[in-house]
Amino acid sequence: MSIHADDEFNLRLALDSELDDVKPHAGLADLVIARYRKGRRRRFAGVVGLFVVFVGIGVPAGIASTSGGAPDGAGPVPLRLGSYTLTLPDRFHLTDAKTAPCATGAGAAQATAAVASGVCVLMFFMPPASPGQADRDVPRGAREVTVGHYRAWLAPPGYTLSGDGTALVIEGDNQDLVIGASGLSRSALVSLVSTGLSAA
Amino acid sequence: MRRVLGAPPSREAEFTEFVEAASARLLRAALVLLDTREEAEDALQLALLRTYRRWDRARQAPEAYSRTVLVNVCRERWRYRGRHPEVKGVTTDASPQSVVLSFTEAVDRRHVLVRVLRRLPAVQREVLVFRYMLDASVADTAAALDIAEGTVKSAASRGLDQLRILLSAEYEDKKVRRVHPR
Repeated sequence: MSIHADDEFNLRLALDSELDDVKPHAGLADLVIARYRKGRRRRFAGVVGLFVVFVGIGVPAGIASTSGGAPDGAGPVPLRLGSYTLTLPDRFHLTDAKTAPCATGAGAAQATAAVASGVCVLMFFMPPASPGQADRDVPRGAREVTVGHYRAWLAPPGYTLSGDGTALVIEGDNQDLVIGASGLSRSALVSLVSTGLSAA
Repeated sequence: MRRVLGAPPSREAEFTEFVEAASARLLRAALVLLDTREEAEDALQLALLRTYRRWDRARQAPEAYSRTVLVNVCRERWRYRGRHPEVKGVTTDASPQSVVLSFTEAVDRRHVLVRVLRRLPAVQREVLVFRYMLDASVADTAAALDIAEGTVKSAASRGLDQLRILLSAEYEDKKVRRVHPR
């Protein structure tokens, strides 16, 4: 189809005609999703890496500053983030997530933290994994676990260089919930989350 | 939070469906906004990646979201080229010479409109792409390009006028070449 100044001008039709054989490569969506996953794995490694660094530096100081303090009140301590609540034993008390000894330093938009003697628990959100594809999206060495009614995975040992930091990622559709802890074993963290986590 | 049983519809499936439906149109738009097929494909991939990263927000109106992202990606490329004039794209499909040397009228003609569109000022080109290739309304175009609706209307009008002039010149030039081949 040609266009001339004297012709009836119809740009839309002319463009459709001229470019009708311009098509993207097959599998473009898969390619984009693969790129997204690759970037996400790198980002997760960075977040957990920062978490580990802060654990190494911050926990001793944090423990020292909190171990003598009294709990905020009697009874279980609810750690809330979005619609999720992690109910912690009464020995915990809430603290500022940005200055908590286990803070990630990664500037998560939403985060919350609680500390007890020798233990720090932090919750924050991360961009989501792909539903139904968790086995292809988790870092190598991560261990999948079932936490209560939810599917989750534990960060592999390589991500917790200090041996003290542990991260549990609970997959979501809109965003993943990361629960990091220092001063807790992996099994203790899973147990804590299994019994204490609820979603509104 | 995803439950082990009864998982909701897949985010990936939604995105894949959207890409299959919209990517050809977006690629054609990128092809007009940038210089080469390679650049257009890169820009499209990046735009889709950014859309997927924000799928929770984008899924409400994925096409509108992705075309806004696409034009921003294209603008980033223009700015980069402005700062690095030594970097030039590999022209594969639309250089003036390739048209002059085309063997058939069909091959020649299929490049004319895109090539002429690329000669328009950036705002006019963006507006024509949004209005006539991506079927965006005046309001949507204004919002995506961050300009006033009046500017959209005037840029569309001037762009079409300019396009008519350039296309006329293009065909006149071609007639001369046919009569006096080089």
